[in-house]
Amino acid sequence: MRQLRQYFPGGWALLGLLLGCQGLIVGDDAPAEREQEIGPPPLIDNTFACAEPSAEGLPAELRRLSSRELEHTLEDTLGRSVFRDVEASLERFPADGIFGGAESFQNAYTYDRAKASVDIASAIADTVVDSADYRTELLGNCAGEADVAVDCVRSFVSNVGKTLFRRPLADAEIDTYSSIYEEAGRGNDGLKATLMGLLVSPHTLYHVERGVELETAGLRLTDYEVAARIGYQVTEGPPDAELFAAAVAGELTTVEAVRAQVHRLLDTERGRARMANFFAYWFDLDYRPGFSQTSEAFRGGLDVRGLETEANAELEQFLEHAVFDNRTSFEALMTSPYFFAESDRLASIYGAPVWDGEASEGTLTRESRRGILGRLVVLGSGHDESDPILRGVFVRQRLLCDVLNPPDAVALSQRSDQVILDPEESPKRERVARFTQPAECMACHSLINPIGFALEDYDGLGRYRTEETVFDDSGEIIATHPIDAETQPELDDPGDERTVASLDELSALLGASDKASACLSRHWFRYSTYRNETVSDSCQLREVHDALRGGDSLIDAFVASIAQPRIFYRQSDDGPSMEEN
Amino acid sequence: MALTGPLSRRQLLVGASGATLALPFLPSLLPKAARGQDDPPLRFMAIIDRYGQFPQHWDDQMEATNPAGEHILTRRLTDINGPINAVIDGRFDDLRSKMTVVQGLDVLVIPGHNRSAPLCASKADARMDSGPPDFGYSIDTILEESAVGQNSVVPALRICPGRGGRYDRGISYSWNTIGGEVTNLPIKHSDVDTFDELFGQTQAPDTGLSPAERQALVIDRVLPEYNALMADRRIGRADQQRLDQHVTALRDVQTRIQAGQALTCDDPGVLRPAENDTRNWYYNFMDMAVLAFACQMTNICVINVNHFKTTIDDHNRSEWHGGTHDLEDSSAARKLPEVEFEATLVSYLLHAMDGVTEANGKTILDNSITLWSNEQARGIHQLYSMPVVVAGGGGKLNTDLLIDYRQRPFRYTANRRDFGAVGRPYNELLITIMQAMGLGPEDYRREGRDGFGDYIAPYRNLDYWESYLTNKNTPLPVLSNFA
Repeated sequence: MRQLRQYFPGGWALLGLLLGCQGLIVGDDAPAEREQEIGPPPLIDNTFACAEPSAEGLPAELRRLSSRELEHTLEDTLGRSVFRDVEASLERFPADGIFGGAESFQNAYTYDRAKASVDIASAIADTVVDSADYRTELLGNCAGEADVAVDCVRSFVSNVGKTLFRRPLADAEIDTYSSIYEEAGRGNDGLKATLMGLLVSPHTLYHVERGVELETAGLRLTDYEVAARIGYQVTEGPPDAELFAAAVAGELTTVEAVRAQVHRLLDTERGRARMANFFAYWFDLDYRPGFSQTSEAFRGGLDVRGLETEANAELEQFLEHAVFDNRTSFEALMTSPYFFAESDRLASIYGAPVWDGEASEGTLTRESRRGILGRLVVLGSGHDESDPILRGVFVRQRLLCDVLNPPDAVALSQRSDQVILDPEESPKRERVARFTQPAECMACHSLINPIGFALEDYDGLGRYRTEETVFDDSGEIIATHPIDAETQPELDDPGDERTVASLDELSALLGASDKASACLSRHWFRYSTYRNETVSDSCQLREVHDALRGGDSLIDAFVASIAQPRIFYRQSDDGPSMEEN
Repeated sequence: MALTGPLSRRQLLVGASGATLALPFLPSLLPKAARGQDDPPLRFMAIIDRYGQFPQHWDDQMEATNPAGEHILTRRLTDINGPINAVIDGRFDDLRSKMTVVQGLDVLVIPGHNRSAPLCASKADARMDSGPPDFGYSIDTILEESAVGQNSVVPALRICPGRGGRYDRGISYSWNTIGGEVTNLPIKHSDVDTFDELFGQTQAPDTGLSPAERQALVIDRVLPEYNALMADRRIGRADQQRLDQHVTALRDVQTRIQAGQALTCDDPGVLRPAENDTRNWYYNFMDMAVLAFACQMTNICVINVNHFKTTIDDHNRSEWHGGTHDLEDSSAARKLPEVEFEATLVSYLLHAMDGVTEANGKTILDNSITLWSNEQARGIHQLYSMPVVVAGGGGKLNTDLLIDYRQRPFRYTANRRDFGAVGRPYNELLITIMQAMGLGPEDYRREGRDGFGDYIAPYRNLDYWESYLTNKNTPLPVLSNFA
């Protein structure tokens, strides 16, 4: 390992990647045990074969609200001022969300989560009931009474419950939750317990859909349930007033009506934040390398403190403008030469003028540096060298949805030192090729490496270069090597003979790639539904994919994925009830 | 339990307990706040019985596989699927990361009952019928004489649920040499007397719901909503199971809320009625032990679960001692109800300790070294591979581990019956605890003797122990997390 570090600066990171790269791109016939290790592979191929568009409802899965969904629900229920005062208590809720893949979302209430829900409810109840102002906000004219009248409590339950449950409460439910007031001894204790009961109710914490049973199979959702689906998918929050009013008025019965609401909500503060969060998930922004470990000699005077944060912010600006202002297509996203660098250092890395913070199109790069590939999210290595493996893995996993098998650590450890070449003698490309030459590596690296090699015109800090510079430990230049970026990346299919020799050429292939646009369809689906796609989702995915490869704007494609007939339906249950067992 | 109108605290808790809880819970020690101290002291808690754990329920069901040193194997408890063994089962699952189970610690004496193995590693004897002990000090007495004990209101709390005569009252495992004579130190048997002595009152006024009581009530009242949803035929099987898991989690939250969260010291409340419920009598002692720590009444507590004739069920008295000997030469895997109850009791104690968060953000369990062991190891007066569980540790002990110190190939003795492997002296565990509590060799050496405890080797084939006899101050490797 010492030798590995000597010849591969950042060798530990490289080892990690090698360990993640044993051999195969997993397809539909992956063994089940392999799925266990690496998460499920795509369950359907990229044709998204769809025999009968639309009618099958969404699967009957009772999903809990994610932490962000719960946060937005509480904010809308309590109002902003109350919410600000109780916001800190929400940190008790274990962090969740979609990281890497939909399988990362644990749809279960374990002890920790249940305890947090009770603690949060307790903190909120204390804050609200002990504050005269907040009492007035939530209890109205009854707020001043020490022993609040039962009618007032019923009204309180009805009003608060409507937002928490995303529907009006039935009389029996109002009875149930109001009775807690009495049982807890009325007064402040009673009010606190009543509010807590509503907050930890399953109707608050889960997306409960009971709809109306159809004669065939499955359920037709109520208008309130449709509104809740729209609200949470688009904004990660409950229906806003306009959407709720549409449900009350019975207006959410057509795809057109749903589409209008989705379009409207996407352009709200929460909708935009939702989109930004999706992009952070898609590009795995939380897990990209930082630059603090690079050497001074390699940095060449560039201040790298906070550079990754700045690079992520630039990417977010690029994406937000692309989606909302420029209504960019997928292909344009992948090949756009525009940047939004707000500092000299990032502008110098991207070879583009500093952005003024206003122009929606950004500024034009002078280099061969288009789309996502030209940014630090892909090019940054975290050490003094370019990292073809890291770059190739990113493109394979995040942009093409390939599943890379885990490593064979034994095979890795048994390889001789002869596979490690001296950087003074050999360029990075050659060293990576030799290092990954063994057959057990090449099954995977034959697909990873060529993508990384195509980006060799850029160093580990994403700067354009015409030659590869090698430093020793004291910062002296000990070698330079010419760059060779010509490769055959085989993006869509093994055996694809098209070659590229630059980042721009690779970006162009990606922009036109059916596999890449299908991958975006999958990511959007997984992120917006908190689950991985199955065969029953083919039609929904097909519609998004058709829109993306047909040149529709990203936002239209995303809207199309939600505004579909199936949003009105839920599939029938998956098996006998517990009682029947 | 049908209830109408406002509840008193006591009604509320008793009602909830009857409705939903597997464990009884605290109707007395009302949650408010542990007495604050920025840097709580490290405490020592021991819970000990006088019988043992049968190998078929304990050692035989555990297997550590990862080499961690010469004759040392380990395994993460959280990596073990299913129960750790027949005794350390689901009741302890959520505490695995804070526990370590130890195999292969031996006490090389042949004790009768109430000798001092679990805390003394010697043959100090309550009846002194086998001659004077070689070493008459238990670690709780040594800790008591140190700053650990001297800096608290009660230097050491020794308690034992006990009502009747000689056998039912039990004798402590605590020893000291007073006036040159080895003396068995007194132990408190009465829950009411102990409570009054510690806190000065047994009843508290009813002043409305505490936050914990409110939480318990709300969980109780909202659970039917979950059950109703589960019963809805539009909810699928997987979702029913998901809701069921949520219900279980909420019940667990409720149990732990009631098991001593944020105890109050100014208003410690009331004891459970134990006149007709012997289990309550035990739980009262567990509560008091936790409360005594939370209120910084003491830093040392030894609980002796010590009934020669079992009294866990007044109306169906079985005999723990007899049951133990019944299994002496039997492979029957019958679990004694006393063993079951003790495990429940220990789980309750650990959860109660873990339910109180102190000023440093950690729980009493975290801020204590808790030892669960017994005087008979494998149940038949043969102290090989003492069943040992430690919990918490204040950062001084490594947790989430099964550690097996038994030497391979296993050694056997022909005394009474064959035994499995032998490992290291149990003394090293007690040394580990004392050193973790801040004591050095000078603090625990007694009568001019280096080290701690008896190192007697009466059996054959124990030559391999020689290496341990040269240094009697060695803490256990792997378990100890300090230099």
